[in-house]
Amino acid sequence: MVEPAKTFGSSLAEGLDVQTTRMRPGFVVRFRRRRVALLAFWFLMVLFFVAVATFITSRLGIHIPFDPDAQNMSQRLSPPGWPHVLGTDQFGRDVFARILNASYISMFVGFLAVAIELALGVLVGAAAGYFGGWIDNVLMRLVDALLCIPSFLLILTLVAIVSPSIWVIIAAIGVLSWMELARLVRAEFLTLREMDYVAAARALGVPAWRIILSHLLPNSLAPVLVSAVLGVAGAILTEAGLSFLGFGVQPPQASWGNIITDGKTYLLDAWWLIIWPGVAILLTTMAFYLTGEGIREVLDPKEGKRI
Amino acid sequence: MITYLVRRLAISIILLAIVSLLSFAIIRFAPGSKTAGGEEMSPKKLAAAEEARRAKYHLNDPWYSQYFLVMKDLFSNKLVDYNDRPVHEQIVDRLPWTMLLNAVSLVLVFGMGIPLGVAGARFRGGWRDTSSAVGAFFLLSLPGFFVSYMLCILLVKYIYVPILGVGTFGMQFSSWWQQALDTGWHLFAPALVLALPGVAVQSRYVRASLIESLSEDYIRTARAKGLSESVVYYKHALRNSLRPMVTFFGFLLAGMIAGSVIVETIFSYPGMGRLAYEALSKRNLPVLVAINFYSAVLVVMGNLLADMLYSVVDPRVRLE
Amino acid sequence: MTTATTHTPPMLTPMSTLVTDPIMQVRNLKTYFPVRKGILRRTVGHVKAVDGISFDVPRGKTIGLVGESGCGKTTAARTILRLIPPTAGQVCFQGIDLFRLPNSQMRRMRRHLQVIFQDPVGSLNPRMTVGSIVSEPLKVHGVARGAELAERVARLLRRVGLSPDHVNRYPHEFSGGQRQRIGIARALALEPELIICDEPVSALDVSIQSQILNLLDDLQEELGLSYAFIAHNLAVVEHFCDVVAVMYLGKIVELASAPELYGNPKHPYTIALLSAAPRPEPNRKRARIIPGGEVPSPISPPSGCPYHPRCHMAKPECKTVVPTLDPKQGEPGHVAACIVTT
Ligand SMILES: Nc1ncnc2c1ncn2[C@@H]1O[C@H](COP(=O)(O)OP(=O)(O)OP(=O)(O)O)[C@@H](O)[C@H]1O
Ligand SMILES: [Mg+2]
Repeated sequence: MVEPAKTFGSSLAEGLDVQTTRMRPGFVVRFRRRRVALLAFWFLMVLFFVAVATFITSRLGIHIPFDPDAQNMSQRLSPPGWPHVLGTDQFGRDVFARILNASYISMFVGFLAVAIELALGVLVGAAAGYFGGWIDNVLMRLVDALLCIPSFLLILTLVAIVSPSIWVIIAAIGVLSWMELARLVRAEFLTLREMDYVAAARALGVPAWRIILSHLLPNSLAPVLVSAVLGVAGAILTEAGLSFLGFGVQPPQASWGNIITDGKTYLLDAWWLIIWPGVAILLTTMAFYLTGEGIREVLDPKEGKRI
Repeated sequence: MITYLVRRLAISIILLAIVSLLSFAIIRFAPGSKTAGGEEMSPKKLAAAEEARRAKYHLNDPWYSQYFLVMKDLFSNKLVDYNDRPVHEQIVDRLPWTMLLNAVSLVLVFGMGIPLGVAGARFRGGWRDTSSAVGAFFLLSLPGFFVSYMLCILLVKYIYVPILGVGTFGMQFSSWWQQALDTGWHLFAPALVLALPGVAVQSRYVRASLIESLSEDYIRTARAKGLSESVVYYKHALRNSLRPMVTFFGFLLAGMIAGSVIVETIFSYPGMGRLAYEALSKRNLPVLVAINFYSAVLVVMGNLLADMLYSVVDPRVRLE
Repeated sequence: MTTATTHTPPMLTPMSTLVTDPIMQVRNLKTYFPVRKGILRRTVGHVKAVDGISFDVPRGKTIGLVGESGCGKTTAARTILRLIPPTAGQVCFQGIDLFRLPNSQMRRMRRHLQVIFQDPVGSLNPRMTVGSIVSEPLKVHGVARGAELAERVARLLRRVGLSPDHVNRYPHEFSGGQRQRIGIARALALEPELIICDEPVSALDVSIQSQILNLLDDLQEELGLSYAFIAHNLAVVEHFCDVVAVMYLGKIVELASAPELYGNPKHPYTIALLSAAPRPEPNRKRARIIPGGEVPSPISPPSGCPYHPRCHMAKPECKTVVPTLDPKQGEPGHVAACIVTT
C-alpha cells in the first residue's frame, strides 16, 4: 500500500520547485513574504508528517498516545484532561487518538480524489481546448450538465448505490469533481494555442500530442496546480460530509466526519466529541485554501500582496 | 434579446436532457436488489415481486425506450418509489420549502458577501483585506454539519429556543403573523449555515472584479467628480462587477442545494435535501433520480433568471 | 550546412519574366474567416483576410510582402504554411502542391519550409530552455540525438551570434534581438530551403533591426536560402528584397522588382507608402501623400477599387470598376491594379 500523505506531500513540494525554476525566479522568496500562506504551508507539512507517522506506527501496532479503537467503559465521555487530552467518547475511546488516526484517511481521500480529478480534468480540458470544434462542443455541454447537478448530491447517490467504502468515495469524488478543472484547462489552452510558439511548433512539424505535452500543459501548470491544491480541500470537506451522513468511511475506522456523527447524540453534554474533529477539518481545509491562494497570488502579480 | 432567450432556452433544454439521462442511468445500472428489503418472502413471491418491479420501471425495455417511459411517468406523476408512493408528489411537497430556504440563503449571501468583498477591494493590501481573505477561507472551510451543531449548542443550550422543523409545536392555532414569525425564526439558522460558504466565495468574487474595474477610467472620473469613496465603490464599481456575479450564480445555487442535504437533515427541515437523505437511507432510487433531476432544473432556471435580471438591472448590457 | 538545391521543374507556369526560377508559387490564395451570429451561429459574412493573391518566390532570393497592419500578411504566411486552412488557391513548393498533401507528408515537408515570427516574446515557449527550443525540430524529425544533437545546437547558436553556453537559459533572460536570433536558429535547424519571415524586425529597435537583417543576408548568401519577407513599411525592405509585392486589404496591388518599384511606383497606394517612408536621399523631393481616412473593414470592402475611398488620384470610375493586376510602363513584369495610372 502506498503512503498517501508522503507521496503527495512530496509531489506538492516538487510542484513548487517546478515553479521556482521554471516560472520566474524568486517564487519561493515571494511566497515566503506571504506570512499567512507560509504558515498554512508549514501547518500542512506538519500534518503530512503526523499523518504518515500515524499510518506507519498504527500498522506496526504502536499506538501513540492510545489505541484509537480500545474501549474503556469506565472512562466513558470523560472531558478533556489527563491522560485523555481531548476527552473520550461514549465507548471510552481516546478522542485525540481517533483524530490522529483519521488524519491519514482524510489526506488519502483528498490527494487520491484530486489525482483522479486532475487526470480527468486535464484530459477533457486539453482535448476540448486543443481540438476545438465539435469535440469541444460535446465535452463542454457534458461539463455544463454535470455542473447543473449539485455534485455532493450526485456523489452521495453514487456512494449510496455502490457501497460506502473508501475506494468508492475516492472514485466518486474524483469522477464527479473534475468539471471546473476541465473548464480551466480548456480556457488556458484556448489562449495558449493562439500563441506564436505553438504556431512555430506546428510549423516545425511537431505532432499534436507533443505540442500538448511539452508546450501547452507546462504553460498551464500554474493555475492547474492552484486548482489542485484547492481541490484537496474540497475533497476533504466532501469526505467529511459523506462520513457524517453515514455514507463515508465506515466505523470502526475513525474519520473526522464520523466521529462527529457518533458524538451528535451527546451534543449537549459532550461538546468535545464535536468540537475537536470539527476544528481538525476546519484547520486542514483552511490550510489548503490559504496555501493555494498564496501560490495563486505569487503567480499572478497584478493582484498585489494580500495574505 | 429574443434570440438570446431562445438560444439560452435551447441550451438549457439540452443540458436538462443530458442531466436526466445521467440520473436515469442510476436507476438503470444500479447493482443489487431494487426492491425495498424488509419482510421475508417466499421465492415464488420474490419472483413475482421482481417481475412487477421490472414492469413498473420498464426494465424489460431497451434502455432508450425505458428512458422515455420513465421520464413520461415522472411528469405524469406515475413514477412511484419503492413504497409505491408517487415520486412527483413527494417532490412537489418539498420543493416550496427548499425554494424558500434557498431564497433566504441567497439574500444572506448577497447581504454579507458584497460588503465583505467591497471592504477587501477598498482596503486592498491592508489588514482589513487580509482579514477579509482569511475570513472568507475560514467560512469556506467550515463544514456545514459542524456549524449546525455549534449553532444548536448555542441556541438551545444558552438561549433556549426551539429550532428544529419549520414550526413550533402548538403554534398552529395562533394568528398568521405569529406563525410567519415562527417560521422565519426556524428558517434563519439553516439558511445561515447554508449561506456561509456562498458568502465566502461571493466576497472573493466581488473583490476580484472590483479590483479589475477600479483601474478603469470611469472610476477615476467618478473620483475626480468628487463622489465619496463609498458611493464610487458601491454604485459605479459594483454595477460593473455584476456580470461575473451572474456567472457565479449557478454554482452558488448548486452548492446550496447540495449543502441542504446535510443542513436540512440536522435541522429536520422538510425540504428536498432531507427527502434525499431519507431516500438514501432506504436506497429509494426513484426518489433520488427525481431529486437530482429537479435540483438541476432549479439550477438551470436560477441561471436563466439571474441573466435576465441582470439585463433589467443594467440596461446598457445587451444580451447576446 | 549546405543546401542541395534539387531543381524540380515548377508545376505551374511562372507569372512573368520577373521571377524565372521560382522555388514556391502561390496562386489565387484566399483565406476567409467566417463571422457568426444568431441562435445557430450562422455565418453571416466573411473577413476576407487574404483575397486571391498570387506571386512567385525567387529561388535563392527574397520577395518582400508589404502592406499596412491588418492587410492580411500574417494570415497569408500562415495559410501558406498550412497553419490556417485555406479557403481557396494553390501553393506549389518545389513543384509539390502543399494543400493536397496528406498531413503525414506535410509534416515531413515542413523541414524544407520554415518561418520566423514577428513577436520575439510570444514565439518562444517561456518554459523551455534555449537548448530544447532549438533542438526540438531536430528531435521530432529524428535528425540527430545525443552528442551530435548537442553539437548541432551549439553550432546553430554560434551561427546566429549567440554563445553555446546559453543553452540552459530561458527566453526571458534574453533581449529582444537575442530572442529573435533564437527564433532564427530554430528555423535554421532543419536546413530549410525557404524561410517565411513575418516581420522579423518590426518589434526591434532600429539599431538592432539592421543587425538582424545583416544576419539574414549573410545566411542567405551562405546557405542559398530563399526568403519571403513580410514588412509593413517599404523602407525596411528596400535593400533587402529583390522583388516586392504591395498588399492592400487582402489583395496584391502592385508587384515589381525592388529598384523598379522604388524608382517607378505605379499604384497610388505604393506612392503614398513611399512618400511616407523616411528616405535617405534629401535631393529627391517628394510631396508627402498621406492616405486619407481609415482602413476599410475587410468584412465589407469598398466597391470597385478597394483603395478608392482613400486614394488621392481617384476618379469616378474607380467606384465601380474592379481593377486587375495589369502590366504597366517600365520594366517588363511590373504589374499594378490601378485603372488610372499607366
Ligand atoms: N482568426 C481570425 N479570425 C477572424 N479574423 C481574423 C483572424 N485572424 C486575422 N483576422 C483578420 O484578418 C485581417 C488580417 O490580419 P493579419 O494578422 O493577417 O494582418 P497583418 O497584415 O499581419 O497585420 P500586422 O501588420 O498587424 O501583423 C485582420 O482584419 C484581422 O482582423
Ligand atoms: Mg502580422
